[in-house]
Amino acid sequence: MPSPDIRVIIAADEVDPDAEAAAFRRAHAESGAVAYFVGQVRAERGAVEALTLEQYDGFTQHAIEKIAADAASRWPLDGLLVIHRVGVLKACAPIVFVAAAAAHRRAAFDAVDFMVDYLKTEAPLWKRERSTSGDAWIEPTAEDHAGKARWRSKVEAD
Amino acid sequence: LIAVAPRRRLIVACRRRADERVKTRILFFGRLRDAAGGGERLARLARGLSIDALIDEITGVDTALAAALRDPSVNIAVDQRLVPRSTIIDAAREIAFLPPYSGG
Repeated sequence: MPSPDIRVIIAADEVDPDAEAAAFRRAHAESGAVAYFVGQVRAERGAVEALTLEQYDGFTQHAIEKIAADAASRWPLDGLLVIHRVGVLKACAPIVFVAAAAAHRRAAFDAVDFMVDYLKTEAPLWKRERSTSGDAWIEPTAEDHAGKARWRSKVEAD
Repeated sequence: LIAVAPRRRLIVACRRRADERVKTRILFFGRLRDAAGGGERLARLARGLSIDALIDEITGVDTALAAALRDPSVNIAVDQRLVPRSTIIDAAREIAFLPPYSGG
């Protein structure tokens, strides 16, 4: 099997998930299944004004590439694309775009799901929320950790 | 005299290396940036510092910052590689303090 086409992009500017999805699908026209995920800034009924995402130059890119390589070692993928925004984001703006292409749907779905769970707790990014009640740094929740732990038990069970 | 001089110079050079302080960028991310009052500091560090001694050196009288940096949830990267708390730092160019991540 040829090695999958893995790409990780840290984007300082706005991302267009529709254009990325279309380009990814064209690039993997021969794959039987393509799955996507788009994470957006929650508006919280107008309470959230902006999010700022901070990265560590070089270190963040490298860490996400390691997570992507881990995903590619777990599932037979043709391609995997991760685009993560940094900088200032307004409500409803896309923060993260993940796409996976594979011969069959299960691998594509699972790889995307896995990537998003791992990005939450393992990607060196720091999120600050500006809301009507002030500024606050966001840290991973118990639910985020549970999301990641799900994959450990799944692999052990397999 | 000609034979002795180079050796003496070598000894001086070695001694200078041991006393030498290394210019290191200290980086703070997320909430630690606020606690430190900025994302970056330049420090001249002695060689062979433990993480604890490093924290003492860079925080001085700021005990609140020292406590924040000692929190076990904080990861430490030396020259872009994560290291355990027991690490002895020798001639690092960059040391980063990383609070829990919140991507996605």
